[in-house]
Amino acid sequence: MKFVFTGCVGSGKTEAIKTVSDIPVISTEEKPSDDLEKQTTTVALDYGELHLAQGSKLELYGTPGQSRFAYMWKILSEGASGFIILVNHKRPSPVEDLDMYVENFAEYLTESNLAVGVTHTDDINLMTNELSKYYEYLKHKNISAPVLPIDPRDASSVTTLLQALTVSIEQNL
Amino acid sequence: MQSSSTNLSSPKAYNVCVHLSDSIEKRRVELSLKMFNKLNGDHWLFTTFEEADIVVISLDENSTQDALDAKNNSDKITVVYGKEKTDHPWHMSPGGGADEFMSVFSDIYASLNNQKPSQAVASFNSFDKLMSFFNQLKNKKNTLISFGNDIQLIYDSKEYKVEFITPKNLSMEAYATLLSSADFSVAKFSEPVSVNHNETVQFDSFSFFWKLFQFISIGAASDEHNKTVYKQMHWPPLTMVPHKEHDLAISALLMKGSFDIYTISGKARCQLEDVYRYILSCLSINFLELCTSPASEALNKNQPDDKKVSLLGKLFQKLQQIKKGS
Repeated sequence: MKFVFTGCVGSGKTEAIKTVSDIPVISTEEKPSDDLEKQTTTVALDYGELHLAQGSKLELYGTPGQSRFAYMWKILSEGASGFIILVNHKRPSPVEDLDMYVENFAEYLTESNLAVGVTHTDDINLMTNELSKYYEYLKHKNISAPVLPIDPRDASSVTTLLQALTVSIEQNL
Repeated sequence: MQSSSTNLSSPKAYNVCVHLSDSIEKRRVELSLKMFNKLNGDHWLFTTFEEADIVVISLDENSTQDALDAKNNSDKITVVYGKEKTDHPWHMSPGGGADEFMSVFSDIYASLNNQKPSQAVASFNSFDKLMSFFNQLKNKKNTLISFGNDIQLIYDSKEYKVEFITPKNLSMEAYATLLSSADFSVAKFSEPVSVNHNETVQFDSFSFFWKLFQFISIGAASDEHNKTVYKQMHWPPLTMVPHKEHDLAISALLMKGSFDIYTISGKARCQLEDVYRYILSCLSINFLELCTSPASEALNKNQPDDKKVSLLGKLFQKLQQIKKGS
């Protein structure tokens, strides 16, 4: 089974996978060629695994954020059961960011295989009202995906998002 | 020579059939012709063997009666493609790059239009023409621009220097401009002139174009010397694979339509495969599996619901364990 993390540069995709993976995450991090406030950026993919009972596993793939690597988005999306879009809440237009990824992954998204994680929030407990703009957007797109504020560095937070996605998939089997 | 849509007195377009049994080689030649069209206008139209004015045939071991007929048929211009060098005026070797293929077809085109041979290809070798080509591609997504033997490392007993040896007449600045306009670039290094294996190699110059190259493919797949040399340089791992795997891998990519491939010169299929193998060597995942097949245990429609529920249940339990442990 395979889940794909995507979202804009700096939204925490690599960190989220590192936080929950059972294996050391395989990353393709390089110095960015563009003017980012980051030391490194993912140029091909991140890869982690969750080992499940009876030898099963969940493969976690992280995509590069920049649209110039969009060819990797398609390659990595093949056969994926679930998608997690991470949105950096502190970016100037986070809903537009979300829209960009929803549009680009549209051919792979079903009514139940998407979850949205909102990152870079100062206090996740105060986020409820602020989340409404993401829900409104998804409703406008006729998508019923869970939206949760998360801290990619916190295992509990990331697993909650993954559980929400898992349940969403299961409910619509 | 008769043609339904063209005739040889016209400077516009000619019907071509690449009549090669090897689908990869066929694709390479056709890609070169398409690139020629992009550079020079639509000079070559692909058609059937019967309707072609010009046919590309092989006279190698697998030569067919069709090929021999074409060569002996005065109504068709033949281009011989094969390993054994012939005295045929338009012979192309399988090891040749797109530039060789385009050169041959430039000669043909020039001849058809009463120009001196090689006149057309000369324009391609100019920097302006090349930049024009890249500007055309600039807004095109998923463009892989592949160069062969572009860069030469020269060791002068003190340091390594990087020289761009092709495309001809390009300065480093111009080359940088060129590459920065590409979505994705691949370079192939030629052999260093000399290497002292005992020295720690510092590549200041590399930081310059590491920013430009997302991935770098190095060495020929069968070149053990290069493999050793670059291992000393701490370059990314390069897995040596048989050529058949190259063909399979590239076929998979082409079939998926992930890339339009433009080759300037060199063995592009090896370079492209190397790039992907580098990425995937980190993962120990079968190349073709990732490109063409769903992941194992995917929740696809063919699985019964109870199996899907079971798998999701295991996942949920696992996530719960992580949460409790955090």
